[in-house]
Amino acid sequence: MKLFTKPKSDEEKLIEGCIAGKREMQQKLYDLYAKKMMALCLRYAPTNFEAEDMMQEGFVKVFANIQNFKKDCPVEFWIRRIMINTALKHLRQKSLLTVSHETEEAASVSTDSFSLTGYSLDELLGLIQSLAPRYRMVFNLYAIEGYNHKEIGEMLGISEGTSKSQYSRARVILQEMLARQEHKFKEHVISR
Amino acid sequence: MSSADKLERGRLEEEFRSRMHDAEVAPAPDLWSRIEHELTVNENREYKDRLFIYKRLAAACFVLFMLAGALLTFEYKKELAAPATTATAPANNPTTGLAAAEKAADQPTEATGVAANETTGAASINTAPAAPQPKQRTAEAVVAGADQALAAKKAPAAGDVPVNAGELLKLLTNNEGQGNTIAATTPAAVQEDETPVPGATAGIAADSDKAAADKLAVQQMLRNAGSIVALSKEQKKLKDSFAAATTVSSNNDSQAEALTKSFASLNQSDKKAGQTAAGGDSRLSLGMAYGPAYFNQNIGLPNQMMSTVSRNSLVAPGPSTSRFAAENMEAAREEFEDNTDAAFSYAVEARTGIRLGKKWKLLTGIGYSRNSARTKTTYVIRQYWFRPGTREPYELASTIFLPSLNNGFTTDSISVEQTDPFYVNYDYKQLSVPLGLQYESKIAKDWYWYASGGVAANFNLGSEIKATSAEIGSVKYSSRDEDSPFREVQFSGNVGAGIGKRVSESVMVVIGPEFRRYFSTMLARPDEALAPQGKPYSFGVNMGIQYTLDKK
Repeated sequence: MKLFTKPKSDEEKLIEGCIAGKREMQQKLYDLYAKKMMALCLRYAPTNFEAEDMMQEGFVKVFANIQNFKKDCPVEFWIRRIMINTALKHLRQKSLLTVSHETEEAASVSTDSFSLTGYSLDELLGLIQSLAPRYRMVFNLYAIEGYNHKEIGEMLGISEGTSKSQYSRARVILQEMLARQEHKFKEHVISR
Repeated sequence: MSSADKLERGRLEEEFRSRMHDAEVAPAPDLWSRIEHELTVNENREYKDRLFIYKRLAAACFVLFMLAGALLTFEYKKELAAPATTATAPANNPTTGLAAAEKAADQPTEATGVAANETTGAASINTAPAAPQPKQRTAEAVVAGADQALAAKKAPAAGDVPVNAGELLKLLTNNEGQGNTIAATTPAAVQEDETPVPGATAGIAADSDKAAADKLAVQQMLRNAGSIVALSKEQKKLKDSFAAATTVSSNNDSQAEALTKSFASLNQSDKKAGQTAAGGDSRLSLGMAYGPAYFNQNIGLPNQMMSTVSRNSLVAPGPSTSRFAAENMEAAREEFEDNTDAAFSYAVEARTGIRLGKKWKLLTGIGYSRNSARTKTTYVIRQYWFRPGTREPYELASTIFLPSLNNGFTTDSISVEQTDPFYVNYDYKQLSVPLGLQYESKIAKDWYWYASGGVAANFNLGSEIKATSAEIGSVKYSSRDEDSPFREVQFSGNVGAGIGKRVSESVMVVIGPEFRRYFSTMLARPDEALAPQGKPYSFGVNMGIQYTLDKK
């Protein structure tokens, strides 16, 4: 008989409540991570409407499968992974992840004087959303989520080389867009 | 190596990661309610799936139950047949032994008749005429044959029989010299103790030449005759004891015979019971029945009346709503269709059965039923009305189901809002007067099956539609409520089948599925209702007990 048990953390109680199907616990978990997951979905989705759809589907999956959460990692990481998989599924359904084995090499752009300090979150999200779906996906997974190209290749069903190539291309496009924004900003300042 | 390979996580990646990884954007306010609605629908789907599984499981159990019953019946009948043959076998053995004895008794010795008679317990040694030596051997053989016959019965007391029989035989044969004398004595000599026997005297007189010489011998013979009479008494006692022993032995064997007889009587009673089915010889019976059931009120959703029209629409006139309300109305409709389930319904009946012929029974009585259904919903429909006299506006909150019962949907506008999930329960209470016929047939000793069909007049005792949400008021109609849209009387038909078991001479229990369908809709004026009205039905399990009142 256990006389001393480790007190359960709030997160553990929350998860247990969700496993029991308690609606208020589910809502608490949603409230806890909704904003972060919304930002994530916005990075992968081309529009806000689709981002909400992804998030709705993702959270339904979270609550339907939370009993499978093994607690070997933070629940946030687990939810994030479900959201990413949901986003991948959405994009696959729309055939936006058509595999193109690109081998072209993107021109390297210097990022020495690069800074995002002057950009708002909405502007940055707008930049990412303006990328083509396959570039957006690879860029998100590599630059922001931190996956390597081998993992990305496995997730997207493409080769590691294709992942690198697409990332390189996405990076160049983003740099060009940033450069254009910089240029517009300078012209705006000069004109004033 | 390509330039892509040379890519490293540079400043761009770090900048994006730091700005975007933990960024937060507030989702739409109604996103959680959408998620909750989807979760509710999924849970109900799972519930329905589980219910479907349980239904299949129940059906499988029922089939297994019937199969097991049939198998048990088959095994029981087989066992019933087997002891009947094994029980008659030992009962036949004595007959065989006796037959052997009788066969032996067919030898031309009258003593064998004595032995044979003694074996059958009806011996009278007085009738035994004189017999020489061969008689003794024959008698021994017969008794031995009888012993063998008794031993063949394997009765516990059978061992005593040879002893008694042996003693008796010894007594019967131990006086060889007196054999002729015994044979010469008449039955009267035996019956009259210690008195001169005329027969014996006549025998003596017949030998006049040796009268003097034999006088003493005659006297001795007379004395011997007296002793023989005494001996005969002893023999009679022994004979009685032998007969008693035989009876004891027969009693032991009679257990098998009794068993055989009981099986035979069982067979006879089976045949008799088979003729009168499960009712035995009863004619009138009383019974109680209880049946939990699945009830489907069979009311659909309207296609048009609840289709709200947006304020911006130029399509058709109708209650004014916002675009969101119109969308919510559609969602509420879908939700109603998905989430309406049968709740706990049941019926109880007191029945009287009158036997018609051997296998038919007329049933009637009185019953009470409560049919229920339930919807889990997340939408509240608010209708805005004007009071007829004052034109004062007021609000009526309801569910998607309630307006579908009424006609004259003249509300000014509708608002459909999504709220926390709540239940709407529908309860219909009825008093029933059933009339039916039941056919019964025996399947085993105490088991029978039945099939029944009948009609019932169902009188409305009250209807209630109650929501667990405090926002929505309950709707309740009593049996005499003039505003009630429900019928006062509904007729229904029912069919059922099942099995029954006699648990005692007068009490029987029955169980079986029963299907009931109403011949009319629940609403009194279905044509004027705004939702399509179907005929309700229920499917349940009839569990009953019957008590036989009288005997013929």
